[in-house]
Amino acid sequence: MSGWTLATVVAGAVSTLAIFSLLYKENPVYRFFEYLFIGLATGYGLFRAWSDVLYPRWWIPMYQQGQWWWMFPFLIGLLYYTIYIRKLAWMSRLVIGTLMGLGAGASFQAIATQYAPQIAASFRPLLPPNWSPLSAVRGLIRAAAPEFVDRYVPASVPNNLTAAELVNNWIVIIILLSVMTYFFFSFEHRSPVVRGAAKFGRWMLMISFGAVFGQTIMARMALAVSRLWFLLVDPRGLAGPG
Amino acid sequence: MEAGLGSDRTRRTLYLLLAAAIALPFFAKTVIPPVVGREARALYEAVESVPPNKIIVLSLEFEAGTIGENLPQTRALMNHMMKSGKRFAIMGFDPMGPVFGQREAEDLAKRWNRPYGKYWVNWGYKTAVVQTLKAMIRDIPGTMVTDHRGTPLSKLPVMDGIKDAKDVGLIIDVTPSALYEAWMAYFAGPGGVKMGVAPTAVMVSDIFPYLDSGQIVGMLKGLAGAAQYESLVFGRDARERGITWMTSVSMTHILIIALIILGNILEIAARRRRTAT
Amino acid sequence: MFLSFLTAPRHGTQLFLFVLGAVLVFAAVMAALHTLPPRAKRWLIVACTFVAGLFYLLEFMLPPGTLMPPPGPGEGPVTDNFLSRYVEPVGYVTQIIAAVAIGLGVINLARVNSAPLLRFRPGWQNSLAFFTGLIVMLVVGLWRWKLLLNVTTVAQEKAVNESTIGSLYRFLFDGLYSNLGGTVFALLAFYIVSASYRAFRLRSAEATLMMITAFIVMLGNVPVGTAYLTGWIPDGHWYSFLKVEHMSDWIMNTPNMAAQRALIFGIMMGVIAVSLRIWLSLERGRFFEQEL
Repeated sequence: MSGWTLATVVAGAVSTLAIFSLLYKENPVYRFFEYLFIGLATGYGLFRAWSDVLYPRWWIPMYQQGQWWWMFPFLIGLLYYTIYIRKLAWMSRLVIGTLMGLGAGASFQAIATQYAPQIAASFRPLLPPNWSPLSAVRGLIRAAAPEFVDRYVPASVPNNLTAAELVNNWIVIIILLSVMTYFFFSFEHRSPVVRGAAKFGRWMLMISFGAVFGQTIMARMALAVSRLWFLLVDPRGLAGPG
Repeated sequence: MEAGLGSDRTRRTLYLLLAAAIALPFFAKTVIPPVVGREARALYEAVESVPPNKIIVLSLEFEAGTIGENLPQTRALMNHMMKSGKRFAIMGFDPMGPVFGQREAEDLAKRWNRPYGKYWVNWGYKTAVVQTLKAMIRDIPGTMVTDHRGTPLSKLPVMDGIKDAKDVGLIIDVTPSALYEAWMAYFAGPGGVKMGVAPTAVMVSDIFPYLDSGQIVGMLKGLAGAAQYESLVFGRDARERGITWMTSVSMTHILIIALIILGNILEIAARRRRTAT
Repeated sequence: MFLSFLTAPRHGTQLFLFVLGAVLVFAAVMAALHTLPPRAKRWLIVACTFVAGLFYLLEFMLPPGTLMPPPGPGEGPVTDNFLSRYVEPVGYVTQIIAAVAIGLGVINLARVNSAPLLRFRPGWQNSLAFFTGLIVMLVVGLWRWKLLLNVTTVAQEKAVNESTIGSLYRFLFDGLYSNLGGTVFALLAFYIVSASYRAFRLRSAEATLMMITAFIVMLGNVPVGTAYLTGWIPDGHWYSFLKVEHMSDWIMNTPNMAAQRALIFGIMMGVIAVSLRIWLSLERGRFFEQEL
């Protein structure tokens, strides 16, 4: 193991133990390494902003390719710093407002592409497609207006819905509607039906929160496992080639 | 309610118990194979079904804080893609993700003999999430321009025939944040591209509605998902990192359940003693 | 002709003069805007916010082919509208603006940490650690990046990484930064253990339901639960649902999914409301109602 590699591994172990020392009690060593971490993170973010964004997107087009107009976005970005000059602070709101406007405009697309399919997916079949009363009604409607109805009502519907899926669909719809009812704060829950639905929704939320809690435990434990693996088993491996 | 021991001593005893629960399986070398869930299997099959003329985009958004979960997930996915000879591109909207991904890929490329530039590429770190994704739908080489080393993408054989969203067979977002929503809203949804997610376990519950609607085709549920994926790629006797670590995670879960039950039993007993006196 | 004069690439002294001209023109425009009365400035901000939002909204909503020339012979159908070709340039401009803004956070942190250091207040060593970490990481990172810029082969890259600067970078990144970051998050695991014993009390039926669900999900996630607790129950029978991984699976895919979807609908309404308020500058609060 070379000197630098040994120093890197030792630094890793020392910094890990320094942070873990907080578990014993608050101490100056932990504080020192905490501030060091913030400094390292800030320095890292700064040089990556230059090397990965400003250099290829701004410096190369402007300086190497002669596209002088790329100076304008840089100057617009500098307007952020007018926030420190009271008289000129309104200019920072100009650029903040523009970027917030871009984000707001883009979020309308998110509503259509991310949330709207959720509405569509909520419409699940609640009755078996080939249930005889339904088939009878379908047949009666087709007898009355065959060409019109055939466009919208299939002549035969494949029966691929099992009993378990049917029950699950009912459970999903009931839970969905009751949890939504719980979150209706814009009117008072006077009716016993609405109150009951909201109360049931709260119980179902407890199940969801329990699931979230169960998953969170695993997430946190995995992080601790990785740190102890580094300390006890494979100090060279974790942040480098495994 | 404390039961007998002082507060600091109790706390430190509990911490030592946790450390022991994690560390003992390392040295016992006991590994229990996981049961593969349907979300991990669905993601596996989605990767398998990507045709050779399309590329898989592996978006790595994690930092050192979530290495414990996201790194085994990344490694499991890369093992699969390299083993199957699938083309893939690493990128990230966080500076560290592509760096960690590059290291893992370089290590695995030696194992599977998949040289850089021919089978995989690292597009590097990008900012301005929404704008980058919207631009990528129409023109991937024009948006990325170079790889993380500054090599023009046109010079890399792995990018042959990759022009826009139609040439992406699958996106997999390895993330500890909700950035997968941006991928879904601005690239996968409008571009009609299949999407998988490898989140930390904290976010798993939030993603199930998207799995149900088909917007996300598969998911690795934190470290457990990584372990399940490893057993799909290497078989049940695999000794990759995810499977090995899950044994320690199992012991911690048993410990926590036992502590919750013990804490409640002791409180009930203390309450009964108070009522009796 | 004037446009082609302006958009022609420049090099050397010409580039310097054009960049200087851009700075002067920009400064002149901002100085002129600064003379506007506060009401006009507010309207300017509102207009910029509105136009910025309108761009993405229209680009998404306008049908393909809007204000576009019809496809030529042999060409496929038009898939874009007249705004689509500006999406990329807008993306590049936003990336540059966002990257320039990173300095704001740095300035804030520097201001907070410089006071204890300059006045030797208690904890000045911590502020020194902050500035040392910041400057060393920045200098070493940029130096290594500069060396890697001229690299064309894997062997050259390896040489840079094994040089003093490369080794120092690795010391800072792998030795310090990654380990510190990982360990800060790992502390949470220990706090959860402590909270499990001392704070998680089942004082109501709802809390009990939550905990039972958590236990099932936790055991369903881990091999110990699936292998030893219910691994003996065979698959393919009516009672196979009692296997902990099946119960956990059902909980996640049915009640949890339904409840989370209801939360998503609430979030959706919130996103619509907030996006509209921001886009139309209807938002209120200390920042938005500041004097201009």
